[in-house]
Amino acid sequence: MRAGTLGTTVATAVALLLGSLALVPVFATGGWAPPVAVAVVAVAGAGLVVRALAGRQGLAGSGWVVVAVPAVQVLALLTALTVVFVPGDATAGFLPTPSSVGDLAALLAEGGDDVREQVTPALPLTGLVALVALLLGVLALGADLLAVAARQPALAGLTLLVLACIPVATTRGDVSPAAFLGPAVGFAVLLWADQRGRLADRDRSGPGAPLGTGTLPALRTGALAVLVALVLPAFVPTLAEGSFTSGLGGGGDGPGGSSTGTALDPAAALQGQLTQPEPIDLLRLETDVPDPEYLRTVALDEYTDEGWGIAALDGSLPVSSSEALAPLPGTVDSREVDSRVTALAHDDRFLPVFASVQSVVVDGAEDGAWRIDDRNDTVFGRDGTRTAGASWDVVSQEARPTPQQLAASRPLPAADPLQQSATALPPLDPSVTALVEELTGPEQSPYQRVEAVFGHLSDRANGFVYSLATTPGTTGDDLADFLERRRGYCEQYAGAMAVLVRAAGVPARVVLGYTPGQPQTDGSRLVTTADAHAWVEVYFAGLGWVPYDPTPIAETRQVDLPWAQRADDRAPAVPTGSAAPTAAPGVPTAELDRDDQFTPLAPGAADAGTAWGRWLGVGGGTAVLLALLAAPGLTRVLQRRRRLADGSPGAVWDELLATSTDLGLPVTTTGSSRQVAARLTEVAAVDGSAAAALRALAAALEGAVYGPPGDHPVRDLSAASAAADRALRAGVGRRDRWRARLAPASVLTAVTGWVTAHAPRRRGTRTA
Amino acid sequence: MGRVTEATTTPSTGAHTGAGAPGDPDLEPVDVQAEGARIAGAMGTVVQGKPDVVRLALVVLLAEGHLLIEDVPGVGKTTLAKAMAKAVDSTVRRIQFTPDLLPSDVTGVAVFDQETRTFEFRPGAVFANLVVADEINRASPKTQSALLECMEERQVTVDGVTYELARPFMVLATQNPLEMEGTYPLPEAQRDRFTARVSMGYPDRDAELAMLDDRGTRDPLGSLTPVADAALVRRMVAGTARLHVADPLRRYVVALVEATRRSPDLRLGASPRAGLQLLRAARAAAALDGRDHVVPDDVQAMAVPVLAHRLLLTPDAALARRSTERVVADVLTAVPVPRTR
Repeated sequence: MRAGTLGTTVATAVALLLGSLALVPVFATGGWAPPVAVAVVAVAGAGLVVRALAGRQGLAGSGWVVVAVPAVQVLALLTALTVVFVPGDATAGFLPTPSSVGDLAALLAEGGDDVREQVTPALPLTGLVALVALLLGVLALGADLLAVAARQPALAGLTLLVLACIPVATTRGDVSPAAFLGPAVGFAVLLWADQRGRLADRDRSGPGAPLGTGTLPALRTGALAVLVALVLPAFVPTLAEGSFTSGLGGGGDGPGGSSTGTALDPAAALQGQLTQPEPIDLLRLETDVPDPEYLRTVALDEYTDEGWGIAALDGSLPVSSSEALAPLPGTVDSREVDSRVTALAHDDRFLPVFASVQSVVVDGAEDGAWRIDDRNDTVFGRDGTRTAGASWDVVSQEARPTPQQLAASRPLPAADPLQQSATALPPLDPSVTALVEELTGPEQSPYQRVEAVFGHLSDRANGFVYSLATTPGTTGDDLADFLERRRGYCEQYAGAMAVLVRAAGVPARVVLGYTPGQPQTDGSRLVTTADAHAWVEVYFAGLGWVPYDPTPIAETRQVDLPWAQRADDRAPAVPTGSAAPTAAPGVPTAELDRDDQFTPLAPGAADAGTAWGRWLGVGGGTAVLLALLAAPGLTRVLQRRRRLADGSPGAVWDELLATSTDLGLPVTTTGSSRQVAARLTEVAAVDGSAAAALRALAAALEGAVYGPPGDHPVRDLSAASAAADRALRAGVGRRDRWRARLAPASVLTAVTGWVTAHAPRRRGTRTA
Repeated sequence: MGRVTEATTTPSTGAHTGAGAPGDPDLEPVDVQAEGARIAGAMGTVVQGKPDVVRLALVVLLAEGHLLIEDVPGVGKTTLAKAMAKAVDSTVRRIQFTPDLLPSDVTGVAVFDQETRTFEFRPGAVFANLVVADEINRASPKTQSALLECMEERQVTVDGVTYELARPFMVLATQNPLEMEGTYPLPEAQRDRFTARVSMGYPDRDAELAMLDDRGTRDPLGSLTPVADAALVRRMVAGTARLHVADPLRRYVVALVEATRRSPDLRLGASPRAGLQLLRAARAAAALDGRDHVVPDDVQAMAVPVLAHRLLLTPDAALARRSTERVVADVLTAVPVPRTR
């Protein structure tokens, strides 16, 4: 084994372990660390053992080792993961078997789910930890390849960059400098190894190279890196602090003291982003109808510059006071729905009930603790009464208007208090009023106007897309932003429709609540955070409040509203029954349309719900980008290593030419080797010994290519090659050296040459 | 009638012919280099300040070729030829070409001997190791042709009898490019027979000063003592011929020659014979460097002297004042040096 190999391998492993400290803020507890350490150590150890064996057999530096080391490292990583995570299925507890590999794969898939579902700081669940250990193992393998095999320890710092990207991409708020400190110190270690390796190369004293060699420059650079690490986070655009704290049960404090994060802040503004934590079971629902409508919590009946909000709740009416709390007009078709709701993790002051509550009986509730605002159709607890642990029976009268009844509905008189309050709007953006004028006309009936607005928003042909990650707009008017960008989630769809309907002169409000959940085997339905939703209610004279849902949610969550068929469902060209309208092909709709959480909308609120999704997105994207950017340099490094290992005059000469090309020094293909050497001597202004080295290399090539066949004395050109290389690099500026490293012209020219040679010829086409 | 002068320093009973004595080993490249350096050194005492020209003359000698020295009068064309003749102790003839010089003056003639009543062959001027053909363009084309034939075939046939010429056999022809009246300049096609053409060029100031000093008192040619003889030269030639020429180099030579044929500036490109002679010259250059193999630099160094005088510019290129030397240099920068076996 080469003298420096041991040191470099250990340094690389140490650097990666230090780099993995970047994951500290990502996890809630430290349980992830031991498996990660095992993975890194396994990879490094396998590399050490194989190289040591190869060195003993005199095979060091051969191509065999280049292939064997990573192969054994992969096996070692697999074994380590098996031992840590699935020892039960393995032979003797550590030898991977097909079944253990299958289990491991399943575990990793679980980890993939964790990545999607967990929010940082994440619980170190087994699958997730396995995935992270695998990632670190792969990074360790890559770093080992770069640092030891390619002898470019500094380049192995790229893997640390990947690690440093993870907390940036997944956690919210300011990333603690500590997250960068670990990778920075690790990078310093790599630099030290790099420096030491180069110095050891220079004076071929081998093991005699003092251990401290190069420590000072490495410390200097490392200190700089640490300094940058401390300063940089201040400038890194991080995800700003959002109010969403944790989607995990008992994870943090939601607004209003809710410990489950399920409380809906009624003061919903339009601009905001939904969070998407792991769904939490909120309510158990038993009804006597198979297709219940939405569970309402509260209606937002006031639209101001701040967005939709609750005007004021009238708490004078206790739920026990009357048999018909919120009666429907007698002229509308309706059905009675009896239901029993049990709060699981739900904890809120608003009681989820169906529309048009007739009676509510909350088990064991004090008389008067629950009140109803019949105008708002909202049941709420007084004096801190909350839903936690409660069960309640609800009888409601759901309106089921026919289209004929809707079409026959006349506008309310302008002086009607409801007409006035439920169409009140602040001055709107001109684009919004223009849209309303385009869609509707004063001569239309209220139903036609509502249909026009609903059709506009629900027709996929108009380009409306469901997106939890709403980009903050620029026009200053959230509504206009949404209507222009056409990307949003339920809150924005509902808010927009209600505003447009109001602008068209028809009373409307936004309602918050839940879709009725998924049927369970015992006949009940389970409502989770994923069922949180917002929709619209429109008031028709003589018919009462009629729900509309403009949001393109997943089909499994859709509630059948016969009077409000979505425009894209009606269009014959669009096949129904396929994925939900906004679901991309191949993407599970449930993932796309989980519409579970409202946030009070601090500008740029954290998109914590998709944080883990970005984990892969940003991390993977960064890795791919880095890989692409680093590809020419890496190719060059490997090429160089191969040529120098070859050591033949031709290979060494090719390397010299490539280095010169990379450094921007002139080399021609038509010049003979000694001409090239002379020219390089001249332009790089190298000193006498380097000029001699160049001449020696040229002469060696001449002898090899043009000399008489037969025995050639094998000359070791490495010293001359190294001397020439040093002299050439010293002869150019720092910028040229970096360009040579990062964007080697020799590789790039070869690539562009290949592309030009293989590119299809452009043919001039002439059309009459 | 032109003058044919016997200019050997040693009486010669005839030209050396045939190979060296059996048992004489061919010279190794290092020995060729050493001997070459001695000859060049000796010539350099006479032809001052012109090491390149001297070297080229030696290359042509070792390549068994002929040298065309083309330049204005008075720059030492003849001196170069004489210096080489003197430095190499061998038979030397000098022919001053004039319009009335007859082919038989060059080749020799069979004379009827009244006493023996037989025809006796009287060798002409070409029966020498070194033949200095002064002002070759002054002779009639017929006489020129006779010489050129001898140069190519290295033998003379008179009255059905073939006489071998000496070895080494080298013609150093001088030609004055300025004086055109009453001359018959060598047709370009005939120049192909010469391995290389060289221009002497004016000496630099110091060399010219030194020459004025020296020549005022003595003739340096007189004090030039031979450092080699024909046998040694033959061994040098044989040693040169054994030099290794790698395949890539043969390809390189062919590529160069082909490139001249494709050049848009040229009416006539280099002949296959040009390629052959280029390789020979490169070999000789390598030998003079003491190498046992030829490298691309040898070929490149010889390309202009060996190729340029054989090429014919197109009228356009001539009008554009391009020169064949320039064209060859361009070809050298355009044709890649093969770097792999």
